[in-house]
Amino acid sequence: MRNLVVLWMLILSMSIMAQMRDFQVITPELTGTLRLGLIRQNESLWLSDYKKIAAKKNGTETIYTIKHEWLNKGSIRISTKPLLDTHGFVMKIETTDIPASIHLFWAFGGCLGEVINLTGDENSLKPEFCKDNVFSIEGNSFTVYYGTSRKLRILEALVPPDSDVRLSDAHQQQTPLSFFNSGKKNDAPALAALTPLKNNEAVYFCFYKQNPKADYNYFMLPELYKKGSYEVHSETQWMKSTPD
Amino acid sequence: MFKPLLIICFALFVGMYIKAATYNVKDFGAKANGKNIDSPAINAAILEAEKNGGGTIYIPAGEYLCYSIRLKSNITIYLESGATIVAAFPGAGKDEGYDAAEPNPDNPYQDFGHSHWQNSLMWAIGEKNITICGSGLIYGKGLTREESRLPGVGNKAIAFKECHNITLRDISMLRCGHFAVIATGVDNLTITNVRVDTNRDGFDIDCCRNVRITDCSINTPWDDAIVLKSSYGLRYFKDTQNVTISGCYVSGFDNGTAYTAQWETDEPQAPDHGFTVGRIKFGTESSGGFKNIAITNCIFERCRGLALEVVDGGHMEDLVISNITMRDIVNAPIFLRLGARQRSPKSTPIGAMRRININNINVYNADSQYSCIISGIPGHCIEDVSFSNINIYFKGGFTEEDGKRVVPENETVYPEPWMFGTIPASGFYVRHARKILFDNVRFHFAEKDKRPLFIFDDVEKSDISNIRVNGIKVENPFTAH
Repeated sequence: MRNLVVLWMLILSMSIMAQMRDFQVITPELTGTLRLGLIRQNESLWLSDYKKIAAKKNGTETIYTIKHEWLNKGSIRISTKPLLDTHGFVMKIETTDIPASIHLFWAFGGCLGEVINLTGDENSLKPEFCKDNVFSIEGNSFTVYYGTSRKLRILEALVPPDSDVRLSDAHQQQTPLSFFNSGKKNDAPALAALTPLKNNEAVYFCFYKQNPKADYNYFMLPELYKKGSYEVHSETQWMKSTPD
Repeated sequence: MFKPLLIICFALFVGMYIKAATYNVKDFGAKANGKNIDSPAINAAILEAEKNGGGTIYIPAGEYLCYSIRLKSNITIYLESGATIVAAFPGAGKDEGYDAAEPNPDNPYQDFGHSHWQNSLMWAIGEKNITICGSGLIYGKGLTREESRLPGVGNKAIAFKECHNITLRDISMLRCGHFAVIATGVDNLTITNVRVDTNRDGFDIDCCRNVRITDCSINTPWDDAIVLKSSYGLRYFKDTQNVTISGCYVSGFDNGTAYTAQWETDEPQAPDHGFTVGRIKFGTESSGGFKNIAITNCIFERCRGLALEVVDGGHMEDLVISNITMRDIVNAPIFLRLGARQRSPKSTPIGAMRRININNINVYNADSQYSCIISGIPGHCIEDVSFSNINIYFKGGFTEEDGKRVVPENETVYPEPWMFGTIPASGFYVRHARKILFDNVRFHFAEKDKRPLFIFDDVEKSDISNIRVNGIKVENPFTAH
């Protein structure tokens, strides 16, 4: 897994009940944190606040199964795998028998660009890590620029289509809904988004450092999830990246 | 009796002729519903017009979702009021995207965007007599400003290579990827009354000859607004020359908010982390040269200052820049850099900057960290530059200690004012230069700035006269604060 650690520090050999934590991208600097939540009409909750989530490790794949009263008898399964050709991870979210009123909430930000010690218990999408993070949103992908002008860093992301993505205020994370409605006038920019969930239809996330072997579009993610790698079209091989 | 009949026959003939010369894209199958991909219909109309010797491609009101539109000679694209060409996002299939980027073995001398033209929403290579006009909108929604090399990805709104007699008139352009317009090796280019609000560069005029840019408004908070370049993208050297830029407004308001007239200022930072960009610049690609260029009657707002850069071997000569007013400038209001990045074929010699006349410049609320910079490199001076009637309101606030900083040469570093760190002068820092004249230059500092007003280092045959600080005439600009 090279330097990448998708910090899910509970390495489990069997399924246990656990508290789900946020997903941190470490390269080895803190390159951002993905927080997930659920929204039901005017209510919302962070998955990291929910203490009964089944977690299982299967090789490089980590699987979480969420059951909650909001889901009736249904469930949400969240699986992650590291990428083989670059720093990053791909995530698959599948639903079974969940009510139509449930939306996935996700937030991403806090691209600090520095190596720090994380205790694992606290939210690492801290407002102070968000300063000068610049998000370029293009449909269901985004690029985040972080670091400094002399040491600029870039992370790419693909997110589910039909997501309503907003530039938001990382100071206002009391609930997913407060984050989503916080507005862009702030000094701690992060992304907050709503994604509709459909039963028996998987959605994907992918966070990665782009390189000639790792240049992805959303339609590639199912295969990328299966293999951890996706062979880029050979016509692109001659195109070398050069800085402006 | 006979005469009216003749008139009717003539009118019918003229009407038929006009109809024959105008091609409504809906007649070629365009749906204009924002869902169908309409570029095949538009391309069919263009091919039909081309077959008949040219004509106007009429695009009525509606939303036309498109991949690449291939422009041909003797074609006018007329975007009616209410018509929007929307760049589609690339899909998963083989044909669900933009034309592939053509091979260019000289890719390493300029970035990917400057090296390919076909991977665009609208493009032409080797064509002539093309006009894009009308009050409609080109919305590059599905274009990327980023660096994906995937087949099917488009990264420019309008691209011309080695064309001549090109006119862009009256249109609006929104969110256009790497470039709203890139013109490389184009002769006789006119861009007039075009409004642009985009997420990377506005107009990139690269290796072009005889260019008129007039009465345009360009909001580009995340990159440069109007950029003259002379890259090696054509695989040969060619100057950008005989260019006028006049009556233009460049700015760095939040993406998309100039187009909607909301003028938001909530996003101060640009992707390169140097704050909003939105300026007029020469360079960075400068393998060829810049000759005989006039910029006048332009306005800068909430953006970086004027940047003249030669770092890849070209010669910049014979420029007049006059009647410019700027407000809320986030870095050096005036930045002249002759460097030695040399991203050009091997053995390309270091370039030159000479015969530049900058006058009647007014600047209000400029950041003071980088003051104004004129810097060549050892053995390669910037020559014969005059500054007259310059009035700059700086924020000030720097210390005597800041005035003692030693400025690194950084000869090969990418040119931006921050390459030198905090500048030890509060007004102008001039190094490796000769025949530099300053006359009637007035400075104002909102906060006391204790750095010396002027620093000259390796400067010859230069004069400073009639300098004022906060309204008071300065006797010695090298010791004044």
